[in-house]
Amino acid sequence: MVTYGCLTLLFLFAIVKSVLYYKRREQIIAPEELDAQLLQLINHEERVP
Amino acid sequence: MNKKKNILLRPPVKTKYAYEKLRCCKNCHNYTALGEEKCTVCGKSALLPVQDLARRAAKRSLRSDLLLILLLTLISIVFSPTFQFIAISAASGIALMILFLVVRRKALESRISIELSKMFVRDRDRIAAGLVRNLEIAAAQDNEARSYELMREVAVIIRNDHIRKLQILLLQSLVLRKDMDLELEPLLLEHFDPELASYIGELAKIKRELIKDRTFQYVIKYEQQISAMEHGDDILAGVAGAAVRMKRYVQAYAGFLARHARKLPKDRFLRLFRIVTENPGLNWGALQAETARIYEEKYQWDADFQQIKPRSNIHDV
Repeated sequence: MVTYGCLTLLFLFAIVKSVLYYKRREQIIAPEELDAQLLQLINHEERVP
Repeated sequence: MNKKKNILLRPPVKTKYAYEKLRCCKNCHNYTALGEEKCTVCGKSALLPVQDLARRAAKRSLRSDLLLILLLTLISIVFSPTFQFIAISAASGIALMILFLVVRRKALESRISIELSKMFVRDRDRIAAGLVRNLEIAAAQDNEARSYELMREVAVIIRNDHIRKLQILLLQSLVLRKDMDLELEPLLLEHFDPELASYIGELAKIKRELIKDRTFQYVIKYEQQISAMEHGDDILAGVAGAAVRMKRYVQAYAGFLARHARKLPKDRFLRLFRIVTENPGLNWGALQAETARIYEEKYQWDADFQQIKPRSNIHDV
């Protein structure tokens, strides 16, 4: 029984996590966006560099 | 009168993105934008670029998932009643781990970017405190050039007129040279500043290629104030000379050039005259008449001006 349970959990976990990672792959934050985010956080305003 | 110091500026450490300047101490979690080897707070050599820290965090979170898969596989193997179940559990575990590793590798870059974004939000105050500490270090330097160099690194992230003004003051205390890695557009202020105007005037002499659209717009906006300065007309003439570099600038700032063409040195006026003469079809406004007037008054018999013929291609100099 324990083996069945573990295998089910294993498959479920691996599949759910893989789907999540695959989806996150598309949510990449571009370096330009990261740059703008940092400058905005530090300077409280967006300015032309 | 202050005597300017003849100290060479070192070239800046250029990065494509501002956040690439940031490093964080692994030991005390304080941030810096300077290139020091040891953390100025705890004194340990534990400074790491923020990208490396984000990569570590991303890998750590992915590693814990992998460990969970391994744990579940081991439990199912241990509790397997037959050899067949052991084989199924082991094969499933290995296959899922390989699948997970492939997906993880593809997702790593996005995970790093998410970790970086989280880090900026979470550590905003800490980053700001680190940059303020950097500014204090820069201001405490005895040497103006070193002070400017450090301030320049911080100014990549902190962008305000106060730090720009400090940079301009430091630059104005140095003898500027053509071989120095100077900058202008990042130093432009919102309001009029005579030190900035003087700096623009100096750059018009030694590095006119740094004078671009935003500088022309700044100078035109504060033309009257600059004109009222001691050597204001020289500054304006220098900037006008820089505008002659490109036909596009001459076209865009024809009115400004018409007002200052008379003070241009011969080589700059020759260039302006050539651009205007060789493009009679373009709308030059008052500049065309003013150039013709100056030509007739000063250069009518000059041999250099006799060779100018209408032509369509003007190369920028």
